[in-house]
Amino acid sequence: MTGQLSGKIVLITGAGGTLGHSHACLMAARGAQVIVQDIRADAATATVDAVRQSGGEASALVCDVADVPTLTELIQAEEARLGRIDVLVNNAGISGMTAAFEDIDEANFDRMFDIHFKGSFYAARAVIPGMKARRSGKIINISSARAGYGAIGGSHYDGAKGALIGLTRAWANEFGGFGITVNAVAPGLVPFDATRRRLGEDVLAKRAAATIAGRLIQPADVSALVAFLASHDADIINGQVYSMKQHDKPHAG
Amino acid sequence: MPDRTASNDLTGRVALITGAGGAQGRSHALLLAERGAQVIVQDIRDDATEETVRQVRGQGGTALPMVCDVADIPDYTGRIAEAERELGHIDIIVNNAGVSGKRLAFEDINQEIFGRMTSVVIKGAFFGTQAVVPGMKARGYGKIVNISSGAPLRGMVSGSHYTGAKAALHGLTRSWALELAPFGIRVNLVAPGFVVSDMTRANHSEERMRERGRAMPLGRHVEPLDMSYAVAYLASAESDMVTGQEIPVNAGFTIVPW
Repeated sequence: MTGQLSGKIVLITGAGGTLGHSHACLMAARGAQVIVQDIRADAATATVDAVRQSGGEASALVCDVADVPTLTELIQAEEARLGRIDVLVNNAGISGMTAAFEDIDEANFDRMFDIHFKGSFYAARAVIPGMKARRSGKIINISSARAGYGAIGGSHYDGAKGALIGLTRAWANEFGGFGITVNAVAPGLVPFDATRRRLGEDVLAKRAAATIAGRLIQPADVSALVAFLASHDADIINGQVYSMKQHDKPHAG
Repeated sequence: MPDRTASNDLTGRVALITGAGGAQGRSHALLLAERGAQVIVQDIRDDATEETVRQVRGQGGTALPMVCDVADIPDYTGRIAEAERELGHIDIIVNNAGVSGKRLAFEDINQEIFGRMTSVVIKGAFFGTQAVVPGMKARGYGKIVNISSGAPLRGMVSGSHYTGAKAALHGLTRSWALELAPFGIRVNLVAPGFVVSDMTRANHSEERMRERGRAMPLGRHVEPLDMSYAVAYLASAESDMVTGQEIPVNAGFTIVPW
């Protein structure tokens, strides 16, 4: 395939999930070869199959991003096999967005930060030496609009997504001189299946109607921005955080 | 309606300040005590804690030492419960404890260094706050002040584990502000620029600090007391309509873009 990402090798974490699956399919359609990381073997395989069925190239990388030694070893093995990794999309995450502050115990907290913060940190740690050596690379961190606007409940989620914004700015400064750019995408509410079940279609329809755009964000909206940031078209964009929050229509008067 | 008698007076309030053996935390303890608060002086260092307690008492204030590691959650939260029983209430928590964000290259940040940063800066703030919130909710009033850094606002050359951990506090501030607002609990954050402290002195030469100070729009570095004024404001009734906000105290180092 040829396209905006032709010849690029892209590692997407959590690519068995709805958002990651969407990123993988779009980036492959634009010419990238995709490494599909997920903790769930069946979900990773499903994304790999979907990419291949559309004529793209993909391979699965099954591990827990919070298991740093295994994650590092598997990423390094893929890099050795494919020759390089050009793009890292730190997308792996877990929910927990409704947990009341008092109900978040140390185990909940640790799992949240281990996956979002530590997993992203050490996935980047595994690909950075190669990117530095080639003086080329793109890292895209998937944060959340909740880190910027707050939300009721799930403060450990909002904190962990905030940490990704800090990493984006720090790494942009640290790696910018090596031809590596680091940016963040912070989506607002994306109606996944689980979200649909939790909130119900009526609530989602009302939310959508209240926004300026009149609709909620779809995974493809996020993937389009991720694909752009991963491409040469975005070579001069570094250290930026793109909120995709859907703001409500202004009040009358 | 705002209370016309609202002022910066903290008489009758109890404030827990973490990392209060360090230059910034000590300065916060001294100013809050000067304005009438009883202060709980938390630090991992025994001697530094004692010194802050001694200075607070020396100016006629009331201070209670709390020597522990904020990253040891069961021990830390147990001590908070103990202090709350002893003093009756904790109205203010200043999450100030930190670990130096010295210029570590990304490749040199091993899991131990990363874990310690996360545990002290994020986890300590998270579970310390969780321990004081039930009392604040019951009384319908509380002030949470998180201490960040200029780093999450514009990044630094190195120490990305530090920048990431401090940025987590920005997310927590916004989330807690919304979740706890119905209970009269205000949550805000102060993001200092380059503060002259024992930590920064250890990492930078005097020459380098003078040079950087001159480069600030206001021509000098932030002193711990500059920070303490912002903390005291956010701890007092004067800021009762302020929540979920960040105050950068940094000599104009980061002018917020539109």
